Amino acid sequence: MRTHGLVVTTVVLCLLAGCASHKPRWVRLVPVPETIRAATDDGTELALHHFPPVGEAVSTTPVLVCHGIASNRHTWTLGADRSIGAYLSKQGYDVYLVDLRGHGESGPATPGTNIDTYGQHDVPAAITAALQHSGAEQAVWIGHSMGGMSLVAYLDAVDETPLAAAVTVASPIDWRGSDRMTHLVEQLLVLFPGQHPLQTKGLARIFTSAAGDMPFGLDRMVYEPSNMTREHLADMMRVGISPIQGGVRSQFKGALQAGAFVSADGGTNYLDTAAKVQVPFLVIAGRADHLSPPERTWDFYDRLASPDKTWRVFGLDQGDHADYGHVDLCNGNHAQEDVYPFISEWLRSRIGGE
Amino acid sequence: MVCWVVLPARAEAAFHAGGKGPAVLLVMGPEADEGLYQWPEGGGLAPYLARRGFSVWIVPHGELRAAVEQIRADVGPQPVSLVGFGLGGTAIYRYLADAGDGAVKNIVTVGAPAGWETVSPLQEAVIDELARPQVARFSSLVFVGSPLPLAGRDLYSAALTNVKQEREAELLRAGREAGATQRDPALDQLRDWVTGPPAINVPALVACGELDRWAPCEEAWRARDAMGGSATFRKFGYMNWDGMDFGHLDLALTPEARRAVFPVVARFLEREEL
Repeated sequence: MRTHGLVVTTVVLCLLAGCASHKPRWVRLVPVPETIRAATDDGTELALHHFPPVGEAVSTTPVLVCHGIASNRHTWTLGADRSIGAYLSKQGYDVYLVDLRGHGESGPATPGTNIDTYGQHDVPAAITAALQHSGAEQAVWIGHSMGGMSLVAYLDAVDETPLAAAVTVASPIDWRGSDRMTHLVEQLLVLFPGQHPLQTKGLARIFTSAAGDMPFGLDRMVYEPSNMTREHLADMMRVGISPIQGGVRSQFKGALQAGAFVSADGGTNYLDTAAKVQVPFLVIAGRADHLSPPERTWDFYDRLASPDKTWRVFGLDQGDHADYGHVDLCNGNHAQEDVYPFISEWLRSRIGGE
Repeated sequence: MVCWVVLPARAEAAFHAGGKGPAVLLVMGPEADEGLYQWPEGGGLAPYLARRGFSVWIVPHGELRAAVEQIRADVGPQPVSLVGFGLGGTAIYRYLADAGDGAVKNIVTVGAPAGWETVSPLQEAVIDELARPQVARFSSLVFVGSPLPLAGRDLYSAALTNVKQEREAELLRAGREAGATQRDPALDQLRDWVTGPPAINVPALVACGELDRWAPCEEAWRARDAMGGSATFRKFGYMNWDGMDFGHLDLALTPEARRAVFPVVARFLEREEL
């Protein structure tokens, strides 16, 4: 019976995947003006997609923007009105969309790659490359989800940082208690044990075909339907998806056990890292984010030692156009009206006065 | 038909809403009226808990301390359970800060505003609206439709079908008949009035609605932490397979609340009885 169930499930999934592939898709990616390469200190190469300021520069400080788990730079290239790179460059900022190793156009992930690896090798390499390329002395890091967790791992690893400001967008650091996010991670660990990279393209295709009608609001884990079109979701699932490394999954297992985002060896609780951070910090969450709900980002903000720190939830209660889900904070229908301008203004008073 | 309770002329700190068993006090905040726990007839939290074997008392705003004393004098000296929705939950936090938890067995707060380090525009608007004379009752505020930057419906649900139109009208009428003109001084100082809970030693359940914009879940999360380890956090929404994201009033006034929220409250209180 169990085998029958498995066969039926496989057939259904294949059919769904087949259906998805037959639908016409129009990917309107924002062209990247320039891509530079950054060498990490452990021999990998990263791709930084450069959006130089359009018109008069408001700041020479490079702004690095990093994607989350299973994603790449295309989180922010799904259209001119859904690109923080295009938006901030028009505001006069010097923007670099970063691909972490094993994502997008960067080099392959090294064995055992986890979030610590991103934080200890990729983040500093990307920052250094952007500083060299721009000639500036300070930089800004904006990290979505795992891109923000990598930032925290980086901040823990260094004593001094050239960062003039830091932004996490929907990055869960507090993992206490159990809810659907933790269930999802538990299921991920059961379904995909081991250290092999999890190829996500097939899953993304299935997700796309069923999005909008999924039972139990499963699709809402990733986005808020009122703030995303199926078309753009499909675009993102087709081009914006990268594998999940085994080491990343293992590190999530540690987070589940510790009730907080911790280092891969379990020795460092990254909630405690906040107490040594002095960089001006902006913590962003989405009211309808079911992967990194606001409360899972609060404690890190609360513990930040930075004298200049800001907490912002994007939702209708703040007068925004929508309640924001996990990915629509990056590329939702209204991100250009709500999220990008807020980040731009927040940055302007930190790095705009040069 | 709304089951509207007329308070007895003789001032009593609480009135008995039915049931026999351990005493549970349903606490009203300054914004609430008696319908909160008894609407619609037979469907509110008060009759639900009465059916589950509790002696249920409803405590008007400002009477909690007196009510605890009265009930312990009338019924027996054993500690009581306190349950509060919305600012009723906040009233429990205030009571605990003032009187301590000596007379309290356990507490449940549902959608309780708890400490405003950051006040959202929606919260600002509601505070301003509540402080106006003529509109001192939450049900009126929400359902009359008010000059909030957002429609009043944003206070209750993401699922707009959740609270049906006719029920809104019914509540509105009832709110008017009950006289929604009494102004409570507490509402004028709501910003100061909403404080986080003190550290307590009794078990607590802190519940919130995933899309509750008036008392968002991060406040409940912080409240749980402030109490000091003995509290349970429960979020009602997709995050916990509840089938929908609960807004503020959804947590108390909807069929979904009877299906999802009330059983969690009852189970918590029952577990504490064992």
